[in-house]
Amino acid sequence: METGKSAKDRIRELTESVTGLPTLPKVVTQITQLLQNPRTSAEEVGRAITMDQSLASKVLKLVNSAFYGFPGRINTITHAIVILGFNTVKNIVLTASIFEKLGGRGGSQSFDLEKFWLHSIGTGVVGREIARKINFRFQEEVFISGLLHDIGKVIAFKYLPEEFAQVCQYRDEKNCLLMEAEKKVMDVTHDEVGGWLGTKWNLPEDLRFSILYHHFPKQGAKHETMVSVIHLADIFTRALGVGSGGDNRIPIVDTGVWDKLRFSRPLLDKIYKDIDAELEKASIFFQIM
Amino acid sequence: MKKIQIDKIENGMILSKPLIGTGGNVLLNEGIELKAAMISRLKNWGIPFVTIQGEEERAVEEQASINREVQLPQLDRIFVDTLNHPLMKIVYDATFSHLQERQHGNG
Repeated sequence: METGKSAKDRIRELTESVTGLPTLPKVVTQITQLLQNPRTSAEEVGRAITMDQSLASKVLKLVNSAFYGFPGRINTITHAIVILGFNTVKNIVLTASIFEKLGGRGGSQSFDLEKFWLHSIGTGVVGREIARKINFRFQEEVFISGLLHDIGKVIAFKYLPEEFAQVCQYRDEKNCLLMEAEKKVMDVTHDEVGGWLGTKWNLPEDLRFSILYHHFPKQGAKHETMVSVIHLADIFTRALGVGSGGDNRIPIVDTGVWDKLRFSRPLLDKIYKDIDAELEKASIFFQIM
Repeated sequence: MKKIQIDKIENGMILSKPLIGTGGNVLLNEGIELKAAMISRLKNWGIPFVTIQGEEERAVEEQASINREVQLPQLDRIFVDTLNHPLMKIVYDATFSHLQERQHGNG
């Protein structure tokens, strides 16, 4: 408003200036297409993945990690598909691709990328743990949603460095949530920016909704449970101090979500009980980054 | 980490990524030292290039673990303006107990 331009104009300009966004490797689309055909064999999918050597080696590292439960026993992509199933391998390929395109340490003094990814991985792990404890079946999807929920911040950091530096400055001056600073300085927030990336990458709807609405879970519509799990996972991950999504504050939990998922102190204790071991297993994601 | 063409490999270079064949098999694991015989075999297999280790490699390999940085005093700072919310108080209390237990657990 202070810029004299309407929010809409600012958003449009931003959208236009991020048209140089990275694309996902072709193999992700290829696999999605292959999996739509029920006659596709494990070998065909394996072959598609191994066309991209660097991706294939990351996928093998992940499938052999404690995180996926078969440490050190899977030698080929085809074998991974047979043991873990098409859907899991597809999710692992998506995860590895995201890290390949947008992962990386470093960052700036005011925005630490390593801490950012720690927070994202943490949110994925905590989300997966919540999903397990409330018997929500899309656990892998929850993990990827957690990994991606703040992706708009990386996009802003990498592609709009000047604006984002101002955002960080505002955050430091006012000691507020990064999101409030984004709104004030850029007139657009990371959830929206992440949503554009989700559209560009043609991500599944539940994933896109988690990115867009993790701060407003009631808008999650038919993906409300998924979005709600990410909303809570983000807050618990901040509480546990796993990494940092760009500020050291914590948003207030949505009361409706809490009630709907029947959250309580005992349930939270149950989630926390196994969380340290699960976070430990997830250190593999730093090794492929 | 450097990607180099097969005819540029020198004896003793070390693979920094596993080499995967078109069938999806791991042909060679990462960390393997490439010797003359192996290099000629790679050429016979028609492998176009491999990824080998550079000097900066070791430092990067250093395992970053998901370390939890929050100590109890920091918890108060994180929750500073949310504690009057009843649900946030529950989250705070649960987190506090968890961190406390972890501290004791670690000795």
